[in-house]
Amino acid sequence: MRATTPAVPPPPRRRMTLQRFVGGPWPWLVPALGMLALFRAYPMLHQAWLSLTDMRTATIGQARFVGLDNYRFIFTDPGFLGSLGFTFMFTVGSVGLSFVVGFALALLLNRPLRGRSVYRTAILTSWVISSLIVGYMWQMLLNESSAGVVNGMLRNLGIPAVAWFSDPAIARISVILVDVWRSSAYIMVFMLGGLQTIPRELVEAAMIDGASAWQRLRHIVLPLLSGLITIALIFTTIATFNVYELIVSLTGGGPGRATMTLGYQMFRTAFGGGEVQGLGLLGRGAAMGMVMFLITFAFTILYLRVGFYRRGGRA
Amino acid sequence: MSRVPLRPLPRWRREGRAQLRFGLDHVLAILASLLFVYPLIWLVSASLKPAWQIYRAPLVLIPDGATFEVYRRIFTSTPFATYLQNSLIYAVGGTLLTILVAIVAAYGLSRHEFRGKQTALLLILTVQLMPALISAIPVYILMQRLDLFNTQLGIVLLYGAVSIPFGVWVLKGYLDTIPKELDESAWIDGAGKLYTLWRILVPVIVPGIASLFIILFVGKWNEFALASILLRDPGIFSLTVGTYTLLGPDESDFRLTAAASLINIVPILLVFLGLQRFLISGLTAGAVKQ
Repeated sequence: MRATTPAVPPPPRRRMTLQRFVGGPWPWLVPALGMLALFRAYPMLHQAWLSLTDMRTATIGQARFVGLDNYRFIFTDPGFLGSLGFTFMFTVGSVGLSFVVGFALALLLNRPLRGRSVYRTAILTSWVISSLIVGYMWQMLLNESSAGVVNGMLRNLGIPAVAWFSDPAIARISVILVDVWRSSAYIMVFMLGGLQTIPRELVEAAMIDGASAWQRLRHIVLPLLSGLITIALIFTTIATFNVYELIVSLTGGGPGRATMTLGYQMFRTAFGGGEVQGLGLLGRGAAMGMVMFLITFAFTILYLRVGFYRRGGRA
Repeated sequence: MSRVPLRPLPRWRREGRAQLRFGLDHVLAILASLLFVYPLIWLVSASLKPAWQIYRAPLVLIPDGATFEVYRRIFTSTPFATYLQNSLIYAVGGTLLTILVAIVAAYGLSRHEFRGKQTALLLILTVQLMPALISAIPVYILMQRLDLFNTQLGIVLLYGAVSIPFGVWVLKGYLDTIPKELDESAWIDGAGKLYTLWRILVPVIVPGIASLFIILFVGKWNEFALASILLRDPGIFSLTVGTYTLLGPDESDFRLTAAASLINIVPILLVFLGLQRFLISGLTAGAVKQ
């Protein structure tokens, strides 16, 4: 059996004349594609080459080809491997928790609640604050000196102070929790949008049939939103995996190297103060960038398979 | 969906529960809001407190004799006013550049069928998903070679370029909802394509453009990673770079950190509160709309 033909068949191939070119779609696309080629596509390709050289900030344009040396170095460097491990831990922890919190907030605000938009605005303020500033803010709130607010509150409740940043294991959890604070509002908005597409009658009918809240969630809401949840999951995972700015102001990768992430490691290697004297290791940093690129690319393929092809390739 | 046997609750239990839940909803919503707003209130308080109160009474929110001393110090001893102005240039410039280029491209994609369209869409989506941070090192080299390193123009061009895929994606979604008959009626009246786009289609998608504007503006105002490696001259620092320069990785003066943080937050918060009604639709545009 033949597949159904698409609604608009692609035009037959004809010889491209200047007139046809100007009347067609390409002049509209040239500015966008040109800027993307220069500022996005070319750097990505260039990075692959850079990662095979020993380029430093002092030797831009005159680097030596060193083969896979940079990769050999980073994959035997316990510091790099440690940051790779923490980055995965951070991503899984932050995305997982943000989803639980964000989805719970969305369910709460999807209920008929007076002043709902006020609550939504209050929660969404966390989304407009830059990661750098979020880091500074929580660095103060979780501070272990007597000025720390959270420990002060715990003390009032009779709970002993927590070593939020000086204990390596707790510091990792602190970084994840702060990122959850930062990103769950976005997931809330995303999920709220999805929840509002669910017909009220469907949920009400289940209620009249006596379905409990948990049953309604499990058998009506979640199945209906599964596509949206998958897309949001992958989307958030990509952003979370490439975390850098939050680490700069929150922990600086410490204590020791406990909270180093790939992004932070890459910036430190290339621009960690040495670049002004020409000592920034651009080649080695580029190799780290390639690792980040490849992992992100794998997530992207996953997204495209779920989000693009499943809808028949139509956007 | 699998069928589950369901046992209806008696009516009195349902209604009693509903009232209890109603009160509980508000309590939960207020607690959640506090979790997100309290840090901001604390920031305001910490930036106004006298120095001794920071360590002695961290939980007290009302400053014992509020003082604007730190703010005065920041604005007189550092070029924070210039940073604010620069950030405005970068955020507005980059956002407008993206929107301009994206509207034109979205028109090309929405109003034409052609070979390679699916490939173009796929490429745009792929680039959109790749954070610009990943290629920070080659971008650093590129900007040096283009003589755009350490220039305001360079930042505006780069900020404009990186969000084009997202812009095209969102605006194409909005343009696709407008029936093509609207264009055709304009052509019959003798209008050109550019005129049609500008005078007929753009006014219809103003809400989409507004939501795109606020999302991009927030992102660019808050950007730190790329600006921090591309700007060397303090006179053209963005606010985030200037803040990092002032505070470093671990500034211990809470009042200074709080005040500098608030100077970053307040402008963007005002934009957010002003344009909020456009925001929600745009945030979810990538997934829910289509």
